[in-house]
Amino acid sequence: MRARVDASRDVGSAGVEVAFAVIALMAMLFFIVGALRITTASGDVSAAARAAARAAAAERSDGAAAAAAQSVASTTLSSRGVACQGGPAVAVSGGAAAGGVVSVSVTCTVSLADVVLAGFPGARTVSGHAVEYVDSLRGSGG
Amino acid sequence: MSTRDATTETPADRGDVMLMTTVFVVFLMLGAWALVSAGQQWGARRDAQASAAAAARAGAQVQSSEVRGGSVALDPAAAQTRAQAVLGASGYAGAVSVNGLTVTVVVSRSIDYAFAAPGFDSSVTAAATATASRGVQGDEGG
Repeated sequence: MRARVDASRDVGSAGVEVAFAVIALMAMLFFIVGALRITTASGDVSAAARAAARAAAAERSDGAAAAAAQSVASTTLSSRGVACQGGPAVAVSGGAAAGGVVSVSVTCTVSLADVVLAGFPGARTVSGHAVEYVDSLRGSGG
Repeated sequence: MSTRDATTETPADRGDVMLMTTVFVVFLMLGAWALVSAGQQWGARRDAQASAAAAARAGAQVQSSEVRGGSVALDPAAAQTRAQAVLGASGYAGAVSVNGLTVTVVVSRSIDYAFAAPGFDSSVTAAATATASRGVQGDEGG
């Protein structure tokens, strides 16, 4: 009689355990996906910054350098499938003067809404920075 | 008979799912930690390599004073200054060596892991070497 009572206590416990297990595994998988998203987005933004810096260093004026950096960064990110909320923010410093150093920073806010269940915020901002030397032997004006 | 089966089998199965899930989730967490750390390490090395390459390219560029009679001769001091300017703007410290028309840059930087684990290193040193040469080396062919 006592054994029969103990057996009835276990009824359905495996189902509850499996439910907990599935929830835990799903949370872990969401975390891994979110971590991979951040890691790959960071790499893509750094690559965009490097490409933008090279493009900026090839221009002959500060305005053209900023425009080229913005255009190349946007193109690089879109070709890699990175969608920045509000578009990438590109900051160029140092100018395009011959013999100078041009620095480009690219900032991108990546949406993580689909992995928010793993504890990630709804969005994460990643940034990349690159520096390029402007060739000395060239004209510096239009 | 069925009651006897339940009383003899249930105690052996009790908690098995939760135990297996716990072990599995722990291994998944370790895997996720390794994945994130490896991604950070890979990103750090990639950035170091990109900065070293940019510095080497800067060193291999020339100023008008390094062009004499149609031939180019890299001034080691000027090349080091150019390369160090790029390294400094990138946030790296490194060594620059000049050999003829070839500039070699070695950089390293220590980067903290996002998730430090007890018993493991809390940071990784990203090191990279890049070489750039001025002009065309060897037979152009054609």
